[in-house]
This record gives sequence, C-alpha cells and structure tokens, in this order.
Amino acid sequence: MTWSAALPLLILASSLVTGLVIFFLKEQSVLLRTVLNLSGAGIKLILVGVLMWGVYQGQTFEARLPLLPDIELVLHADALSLLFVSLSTVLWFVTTVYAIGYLEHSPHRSRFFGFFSLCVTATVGIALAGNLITFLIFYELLTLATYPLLMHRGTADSRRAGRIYLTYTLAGGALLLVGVVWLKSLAGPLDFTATGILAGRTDLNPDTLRWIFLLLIVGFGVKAALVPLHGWLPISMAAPAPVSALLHAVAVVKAGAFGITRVVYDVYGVEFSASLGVLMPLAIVASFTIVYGSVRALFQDKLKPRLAYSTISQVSYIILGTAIVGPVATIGGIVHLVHQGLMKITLFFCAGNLAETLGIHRVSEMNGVGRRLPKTMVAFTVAALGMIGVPPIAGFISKWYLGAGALDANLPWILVILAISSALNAAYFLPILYRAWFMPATGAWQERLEPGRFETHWMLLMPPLVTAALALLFGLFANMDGSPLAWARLIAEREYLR
Amino acid sequence: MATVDLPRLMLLMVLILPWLMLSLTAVARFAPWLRRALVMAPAIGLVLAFLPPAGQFEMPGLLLGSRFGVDGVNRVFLVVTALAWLAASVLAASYLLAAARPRRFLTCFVLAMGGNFALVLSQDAVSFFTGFAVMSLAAYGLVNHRGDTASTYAGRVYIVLAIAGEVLLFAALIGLVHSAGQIQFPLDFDAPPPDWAIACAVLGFGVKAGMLPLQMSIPLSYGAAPLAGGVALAGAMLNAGLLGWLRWLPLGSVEASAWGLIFTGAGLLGAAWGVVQGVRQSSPTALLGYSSISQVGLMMLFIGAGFLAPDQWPLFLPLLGYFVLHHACAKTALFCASSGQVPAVGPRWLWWAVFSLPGLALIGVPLSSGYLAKAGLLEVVTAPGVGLATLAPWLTLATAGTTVLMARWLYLVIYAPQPGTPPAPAPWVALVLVVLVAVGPLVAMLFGVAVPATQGGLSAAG
Repeated sequence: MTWSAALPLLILASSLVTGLVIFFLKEQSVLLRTVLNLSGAGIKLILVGVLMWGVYQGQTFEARLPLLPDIELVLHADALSLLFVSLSTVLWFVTTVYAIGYLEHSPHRSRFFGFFSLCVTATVGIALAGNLITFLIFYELLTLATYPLLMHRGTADSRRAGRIYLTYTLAGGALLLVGVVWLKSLAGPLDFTATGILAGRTDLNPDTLRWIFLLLIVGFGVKAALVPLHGWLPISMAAPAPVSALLHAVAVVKAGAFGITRVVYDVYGVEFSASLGVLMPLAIVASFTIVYGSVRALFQDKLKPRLAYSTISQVSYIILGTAIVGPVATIGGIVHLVHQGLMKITLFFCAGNLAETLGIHRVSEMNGVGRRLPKTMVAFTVAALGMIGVPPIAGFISKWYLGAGALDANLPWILVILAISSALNAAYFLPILYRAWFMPATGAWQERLEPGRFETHWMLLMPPLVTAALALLFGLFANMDGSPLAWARLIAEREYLR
Repeated sequence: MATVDLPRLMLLMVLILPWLMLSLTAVARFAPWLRRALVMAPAIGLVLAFLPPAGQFEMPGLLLGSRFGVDGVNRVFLVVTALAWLAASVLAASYLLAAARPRRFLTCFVLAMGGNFALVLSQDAVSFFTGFAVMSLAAYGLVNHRGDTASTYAGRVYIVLAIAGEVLLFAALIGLVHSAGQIQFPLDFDAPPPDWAIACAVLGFGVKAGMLPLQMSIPLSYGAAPLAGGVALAGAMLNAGLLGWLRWLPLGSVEASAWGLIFTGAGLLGAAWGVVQGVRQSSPTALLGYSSISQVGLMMLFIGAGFLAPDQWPLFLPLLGYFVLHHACAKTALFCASSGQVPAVGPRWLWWAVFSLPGLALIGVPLSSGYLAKAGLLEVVTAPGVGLATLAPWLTLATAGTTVLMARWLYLVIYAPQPGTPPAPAPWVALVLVVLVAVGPLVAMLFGVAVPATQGGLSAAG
C-alpha cells in the first residue's frame, strides 16, 4: 500500500484503535486511558498536519478498498474534506482535554471514551469520504456511536433523549439510504467531484433527480436540525457537556450540514442544482430555520437549551450559503462550518464550566458570575458576540460573505433574514452578558470544586480559552494565508471552475 | 512593505496601544500603571494629527485586507478624537482611584478607545465597521457603569439603539460595498447605490450622531456615564457617526435631492428640538447631550447641501471639518467643566468666566471658533445650487437657542450641583483641559489641519 493511500487510513485508525483499546481498559486505569486519549488525539493532529502539507504540495491522497461488488470504500482528501477533517481533529483534541477534566470523578469512563473515539472516527470518516456510499456508512456509524454518549448518564431524561435521537436519526438514515441507492442505480458510481457528478447528465429524468434530492436533504436535514426535523436536538441536552459541545460543533449537526454541502456541490453540482430549481426551496427552509431557532432560543431560561436552539439557527447559515448560487455565498457557508464550530464549542464548554464549578444551569442564575469566573465568561463573551456577528470575531466574516453572496445572486431578502437573525441573536445573548458582567451576584452558588489556582479546573478552563481565541483570530486575521477563509476561498474556486 | 518612518510608527502605536493595554488589564498588578498610561494613545494620536499626512499603512492579513492612514477627511476627526480621549483619560485616571469595579470600567474604556481610533484611522469600510462596532458595544460599560436605576435605564436604551444601528450598518455595508465594488475609501460609486443601503447608513450612523428621531440615547447616556465616559461619548464617539456619513455615503458623486432634503429637514428639526428639550434639563451633562443633538442638526445641513449640490462638496467638506473641530473641542471642554468645581485660589467668578469660554465659543461670539464655524455654515447654505438660502435667517435663531442653552448650563454647574455627580478630578486638571481645548481649533487652524472658511469663494458666487 502506498503512502498516499495509507495516510487517510492511518488518520482513521488513530482514533478507531484508541477507542477500541479503551473499551477494554479497567475503570481505574486513569493514567493509561488519559495517555491513550491524548496520544490518539495528538497523533491524529500530526497526521492531519502532514496531510494538509501534502495537499498543499500538490499530492493527492486516496484509499480505495473494495467493499461489495461494484461498491468501494473511498477515502480521499480534497480541499473541502481537509477543512472538515482539520476542524474535527483540532476540536476533538481540545474536547478530549475538556472531557478528561469534566469526567474526573464520574463512572463508566472507559465506555465513555471508547464511544467518544468511535464518534470522532465516524466524523473523520465523513470528512474524508470520497463517495456517497462511504459517506453513508460513516454517517450511520456516527448515529450508533453518539447514541451511548447521549445516554451516558443513564437518567430517565437522558434515556428518553437517546430514544428520541435514535428515532429521528434512524428514520433520516433510512430515507438517506433509499436516496443513495436510487441515485446509484441511476447514475453509477457516486465519487464526489468538484462541480458535481450529475452536472451535464442529460440522460436522467429531472423529476427523479428532484425526488432523490429531497430524500437526501431530508436524510441529512435530520442531523443538521433543519426545521421541522430538529425535534431531537433540544432534548439531547441531557448529555454531558463535552458531548453536547462536540455534538453541536463538529460531530452530528455538522455532519448533516456537511452532507448537504456535499450533495449540492459534489454530487449534483451547484449550477445543476440551481437549474433543477431545488436550491430556492432549500434557501427558504434554511432561512426559516435561522429565524425559528433564534426566536425559540429567546424563550429558554436554561442555558443549554438556549444554546441548542441557537445551534439550530446557526447551522442553517451553512445550508443557506450552500443554497445561494455563487462563489461568494459558498465561501460564507463553508467558512461558517469552521467558525460556528469554534464559537459554539466555546459556548458549550463555558456552559459546562458554569454547571460543574458553580452548579449553574439557568440564565437567571448567572447574575454576577463574571466576577467569579472571569476567564470563562470572557471566552463566553467572545463566542456570543461572534454568534451575533460582531466584528472582528469570526462570525462576522461568515455573515459578510453570506450577505454579499445574497446580493450577488440578487436575493436581497436574505439580507433581511441575516439582519433579523443578528438582532435576535443579540436579544438572547446580550442579556446573558449583562447578567454576568453588570448585575450583582444574587445568593451563593454551590461551589463544587476544590478551590485551586485557577477559577476552575485547568482542564475545563483551557479548552474554551483556546477555542475562543481561535474564533477571534480567525476573524481578525481572516485574510491571512491558511485561515479558514483562505481555505473556503480555495474550495469555492474549485466548485465554480469551468 | 513601505519603510516605517515616524508618522507610520505613531499610527501603528495609536492603533495597537489600546489593545496592548487591554491585554494587560487581565493582570491586576498592572492596574495602577495602566491607569496612568491611558493618555499615551490619545497623546500620540494628537501629535500624529499635526504631522503631515503619511499615506496609507496596509495590513493585508487583517480582516478582509485593512488599510489605515490619515487623509483630508479624517485628519480633523483624529484631532478631536485624540483630544477628547486625552481629556477622558485624564479624568478616568482619577476616577478609577475611587470607582467601584475599576477593572470593568478600564476594560470598556480601553476597548471603546481602541475601536474609536481604529475607525477614525481606517481607510476601508470593513475596518471602519469593526472599530465602530467594538466602540459602540464597549461604550455600554461606560454608560451603565454606576448600575443604579437611571444608568441601567440609560444603558438599556443605549444598547437597544446601538444594536439596531449595528444591524442597519451591516446591511448598509454590504449594500454599499456591493455597489461600489471595493471596500477601500473613498467608496467609488459608478452608479448610485440602492436607496435602501443609503437609508440604512443614514439611520445606522444617525443613532451614534444623535439624528432625530434616533437621539434618545444621547442625553440619557451623557447624563448616566461617569464624567470620563461622558467626555469620550460627547467629544469623540458622537463624531464617529458623522465620519461614518462622510465615509460611506455617496457624497460628491451622486446628486440625490431627496436625501439632501431629508438631511436638511432632520437637521433643522434636531437643531430646534435639542434646544427646546435641553433647557428643561436639570443635569448639566444631559443638557450637553441635547446641545449635541442641536449642533449635529446644524452639521447635517452641510451634508444635506452636499447631496443637493454634489459638485461643490469638495468645498463644503473642509467647512464641515472646521465645524466638527470647533464643536467637539467646545463640547469636550464643557464636559470637563461640568463637575462644578473650581480651583480654590482666587475669586470664583474669575474661574467661572474662564470655564464659560467654551460655551461662548459654542454660541459663536466674534473671535471664537464658533464664529468662524457658523460663517462657514452660512456660506454653505447660501451657496449657489444648494437652494437653501431661505434658511439663512433661521441660523440666527439657532444662535439664540444655543445662547439660552449655555446660560442654563452655566447656571446648572454653578448653582445646582448634581447629587449624583461623580467624584470630580482635580479642578486644575479641568482648567488645563478647558484652556487646551479652547485653543485647540486655533492651533489646528495654524497647522492647516482645518480650514475655517474659504476666501469668499462660495459666497462671491452666490
């Protein structure tokens, strides 16, 4: 096997093997498990670095394994997969650190970290998948790997959350399977191609293609939490904080959005999709989701559900960017994949810190918390302002490109959606900041951790600081080489290459 | 990259120092040092404004490719921004000694200052918007620092309007840049930009500048903020709204009589309304807020004229620049004197005579900066092609209004000290600031930073 085929497989194996080994560790072997976790995440980080360097040098990486007659498992690295794979690798690393600190004294850690690693394996598989079949396999694996994580606490709430999650995602997965098989039977191999596999295929019935598009979008839309397929997401808040963080920033929700991106750009081709007339309905659904999620977020007093509804809204920015024809909007959608991930994971880390350190679960309990947890709340503030779209934080860059792309495509009403969404984001995030920084503390919190050198356990504090700093830097230095924006520009260039 | 000469180095320092200080606020033991170092960035900025403009400084990796520099439009704004922040920094240094939550105030103060300098010096719309947003949001911490009922209310009104303004400006930014096809200033419009984008920019910056009917937050926030914050709000941040109009609107390239009339109408309305409401105030700083609304109303007449007679805009712009300089200097000085304390040496009436100088300037008594500024305004409204000559007599009325306002202000600071007045800085500091600021326009004139009036070029033709 050549190096170019081995590297994608090694990247997968770095978390798969770790995960499988961890399952068999005794609960007490904390040190070994920690070493395994961190070295798995670290090795993956290095391997992805090598992969990026190789692609930058013009190498192509592709692994093809025969799966069934006529069906291959394909892993390859194009610009889009690199963006997603590096996002998930970096965020996996910080989340691993966070999870080790978070679960320090809780039971079933081997089970947790085993599935945690599998979950990342699935996400990386989704990122590297070179055809729709491979994508589907890892997508289903993701469902199965996240289910035990959701129910990790074993409470009635979390079991219910797991059940609802499974119902939604399996149903979505079934529709997706039908769509993929149908398309495969019509169009042959479904290897992702920039500008699309189906573009220029005049032999296929457009109506059939529209139906298949609908099946695929609904299948992916469940995980991407497009309204009305979003019902599972707010309920899944019963999961532990690191799981919620990963779920909302990279793993599940992103996998759905990424799937939609793949379908539109690399299966149908964006211009062909537009000619089928399927993008406008998608843009409308995404816009509705953006506004709906924000409105619902307004009325949540519990912090995590407020963040969950915010995710529903923000992930649809990615889908909206996909649904607007034109390179500028494409850049906005794709770059938001990274930007939303960084900002949202920060918010969930911070929510976890509030809960773990002071037992705070509700917005109304956050009065004056900025003085007790200043660093955590600085990270939260940066991420929340970024979500609103305040420059120079990364979220602004996404909104800028989405807005400019909307005008390029002559869809000024989308600007109104963006404006409404920004205002609503401000309406549900700024009161939190106001409470934390400007209101005096009311009553005592339950201090849950031993007082230490930092405001909370350092493993809980560092991850949000790192991700918040990245969210700020990626916006402030958006125009630098190697920034997510630069990658997104490269991807957009290739999608519209004629 | 161009060589780093002195003006460029200073430019860089003005831009970066506030952020450097922001990062140092995290370390408690730097606090006393930081308090005294606040004046550094504004002091350097002030010197920079008096050096010959040094061209643009490009930072291609920043945001979407940023440029900063001093040019004919922002030079005056740099003077007033630096001067106001200098005064605010001096006041803040003493305020922070006794204030509750000093670190929060310091953080917001430095953030607002950094954003303000970034927007003034920016040579592209994205950097401008970024600085503007940072400044606007951080200023909330200045408005609602005390946390009592009044300042909480002022803060709420402020932030709701600020966010509405930001959202409008975001839409305006996208629309105007899309139409211009570039982010660099001056935005070059081949075809008139869409009216909705202009409207968004007018309203979005109008919130900051105190344009009617978006002026609600101005007097509230001036009254609620500690004096150090109020000086910055009134002397520096208000002008950011004006500069925004000058930078973003298609002035001088597009004839748009509808926008010209809207600016003129809203301006006149503001000029009158500020006086009517201002005299009813019992807080001297809130009164100054209404005075600002009134003065901005007058400044809007320049912009209205620019829309009505775009070919003459290059002549109007320096006159407006001088008006901005005059007003901001006078307003900064008035704010500094609003604590109601005078040095304990010599007769009090003498001090009050000195402290009323900026008020006299604002009224526009002969030999003052206000006299020259109003002469410029008169030239603009009577210029040919503008068609506003009928307004000329009404400007006298505006002067009368300002006189009443300033008399009321003097009465309030002398006889009716506010119970909620924050701990005042040393009166000597106020005095130095008043004098410095009163001579500011004169010095600026001597250095050629601002031109008070054309040599009769406009009126001769009229």
